[in-house]
Amino acid sequence: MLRPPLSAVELPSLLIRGAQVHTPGSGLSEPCDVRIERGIIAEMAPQLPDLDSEVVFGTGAILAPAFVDLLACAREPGDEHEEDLQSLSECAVAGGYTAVVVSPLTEPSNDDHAVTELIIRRAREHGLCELLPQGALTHRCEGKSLATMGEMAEAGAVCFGDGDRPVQSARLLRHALEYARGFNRPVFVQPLDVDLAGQGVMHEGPWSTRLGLRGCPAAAESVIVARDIAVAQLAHGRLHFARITCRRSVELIRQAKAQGVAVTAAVTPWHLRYTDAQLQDYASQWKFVSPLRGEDDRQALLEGLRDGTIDAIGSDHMPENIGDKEVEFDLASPGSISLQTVLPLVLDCVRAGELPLYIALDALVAGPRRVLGLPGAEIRPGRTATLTLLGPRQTWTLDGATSRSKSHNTPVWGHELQGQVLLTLLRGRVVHQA
Amino acid sequence: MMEATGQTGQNSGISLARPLPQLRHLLGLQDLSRQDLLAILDLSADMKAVNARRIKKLPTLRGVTVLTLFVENSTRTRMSFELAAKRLSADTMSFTASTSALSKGETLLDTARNLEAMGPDIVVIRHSCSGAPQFLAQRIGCGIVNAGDGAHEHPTQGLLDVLTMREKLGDLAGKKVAIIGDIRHSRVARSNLFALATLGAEVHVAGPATLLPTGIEQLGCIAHPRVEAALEGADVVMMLRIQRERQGNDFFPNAHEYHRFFGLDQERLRLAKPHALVMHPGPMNRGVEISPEVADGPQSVILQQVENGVAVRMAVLYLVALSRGLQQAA
Repeated sequence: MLRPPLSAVELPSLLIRGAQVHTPGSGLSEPCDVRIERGIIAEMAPQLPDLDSEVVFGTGAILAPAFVDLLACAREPGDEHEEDLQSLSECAVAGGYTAVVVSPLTEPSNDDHAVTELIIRRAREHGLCELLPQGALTHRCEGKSLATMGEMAEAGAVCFGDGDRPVQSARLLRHALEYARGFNRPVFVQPLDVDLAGQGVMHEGPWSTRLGLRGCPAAAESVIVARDIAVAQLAHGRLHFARITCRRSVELIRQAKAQGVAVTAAVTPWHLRYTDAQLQDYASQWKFVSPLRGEDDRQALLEGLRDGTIDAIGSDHMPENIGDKEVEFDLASPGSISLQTVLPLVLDCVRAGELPLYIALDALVAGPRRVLGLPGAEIRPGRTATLTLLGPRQTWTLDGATSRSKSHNTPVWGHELQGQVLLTLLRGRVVHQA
Repeated sequence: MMEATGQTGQNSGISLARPLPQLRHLLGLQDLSRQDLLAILDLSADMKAVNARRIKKLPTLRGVTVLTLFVENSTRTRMSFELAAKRLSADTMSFTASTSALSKGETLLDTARNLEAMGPDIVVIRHSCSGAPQFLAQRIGCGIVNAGDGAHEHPTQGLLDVLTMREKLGDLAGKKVAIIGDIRHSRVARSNLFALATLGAEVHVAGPATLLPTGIEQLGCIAHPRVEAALEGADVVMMLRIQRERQGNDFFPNAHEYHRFFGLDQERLRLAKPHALVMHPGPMNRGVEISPEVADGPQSVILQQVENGVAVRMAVLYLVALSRGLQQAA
């Protein structure tokens, strides 16, 4: 079922003809030919001769630096039957990604350099994409005492956080931000006041009232966004909000950025594209860790992306055994596999006129690199050919034949989607071809 | 007596002057049209006439099996459904959570599929999780009748309440109905709201604001954080049960204070119209949401509600069976 990459070996020379090139910050170029040799972009021009290059026709397609994801869960170690690091990587490259931040919420959790090293070793073994471990912020992600952040940073952790578990103690967050400064790593948080959220299973609003489901108010998120901004200011730390969902959070982050606080934020494609109205049939596939909110909140997230308040779009890839979804809504596990469907969902917003294409791509290409403090990516001669070729108009269906995940918990399973990743290159090697 | 036993099914006492609604499941009242709602109510009135006979039984659902699947306790609703099924000559079996495998970790879907394999035609489900009846209706082949799901709907309660109101008041268009108490956690309130909105009544809900859920007015009512405005000039006053576990959970301070500000006593009832109906879905907390003299007073129709419950459930089971081709129209 799984097709091996077209060529796992380095191609001597590859010529991508006629694609428009996305440059972060400035958008799409005129159609152009790009030659890649020995993993490096060798030359770019409107018309290049074939020479002895293998040719890929990119007419109508977009060539962009490969995406970086800030928000994915593997289930290795612990629940490899749901997703292991290999299948996660296959999903990633099929979604246009060549680097993925991996949540520490596994069994055992990544709160120790041995787990960090395991993740990096797996990435080296399969060679598909880079796995960027998020080291746990606290021991066993329990929010009680700091994890061994220094050793994990040394082993390759790129950031710290407790996955989707909220940090409840402001004092602990302060110390984590301060401590992480010494290792030059950002701290990722899931903003939620668990007390105010109560037992909420969806956004609190007219839909939760109609459906009789317990609501989680948007304020349960924004009060913690406000608190954490103040804590970040106090600690002079680098703080990243992993998922924000509501208007008030966007406003607070906009204000904090204007005041020079080192804060970044991401949003999921689900929250950009959908609202809580999706839940009207109690379909648990639409249940996420941070609930889908109302239309006004969705509009605010789009505004936040357009004006740069929100830095990145994170996949929120969260594989679950389908049995954990096939239960009463209250009891269903939240989350969805997402890496392969980010592009079509984001392009839906572009097609709806809600998001300029270059901003959508920047939120997948440049934003995540900026959050992590990685060097910027650009397509020009001399740069590494870590690229993805996107067919914005191509349609495909997410199903057993196309999905690379071991799980199939997603609300768009079996749906026709528009926007396909045609090719992904990691340092010149083809790691995915549709 | 011959008519009551209706051996040939020629004259079961059910009038068929109106077209009967297609009702493959009854999951809620939200999506029922006015026409369908009225047809169910009229059929319920016919069923009530059957219940007034000396031999209270029709042969119409002979050979149909009704399973009551109660994953949340409720003796009286289950009994009401079982009695309704028996009066239509259906076979009944019951499954309750306390004796069930659900407490041993079997999922609802597995339990339902196992029970389905025994061949019931209609499953009457009560569940503490909102949406559980929808969940089953999408996954098993039986007709599903919602007997109350979480804080979502309790459609047969809504129907019996509206039937009771119509018996006393006739057309409900423009009638003022006050629903008072724990609106947030009440499926009874939601089912009544949907049905009353469809029938054109003017619905006011009231209670401490902690128990008024966000956006309730978008369901077609006016909400008040005190009860007086809702009671003024009301034709119907429906009191909801206050669950004692809500007190001390920050929803309100204690039962005494609740009664003082939100309970229905004689004096407060005088704000409503002189012959306003007093209703309660039961079981009542006397002295908390309702004082004993009001509960037992001349305006109370609480026991008629219980009586109407059997008739409404007969009508619903009959229509679901009919819509699924389990029974020819009499």
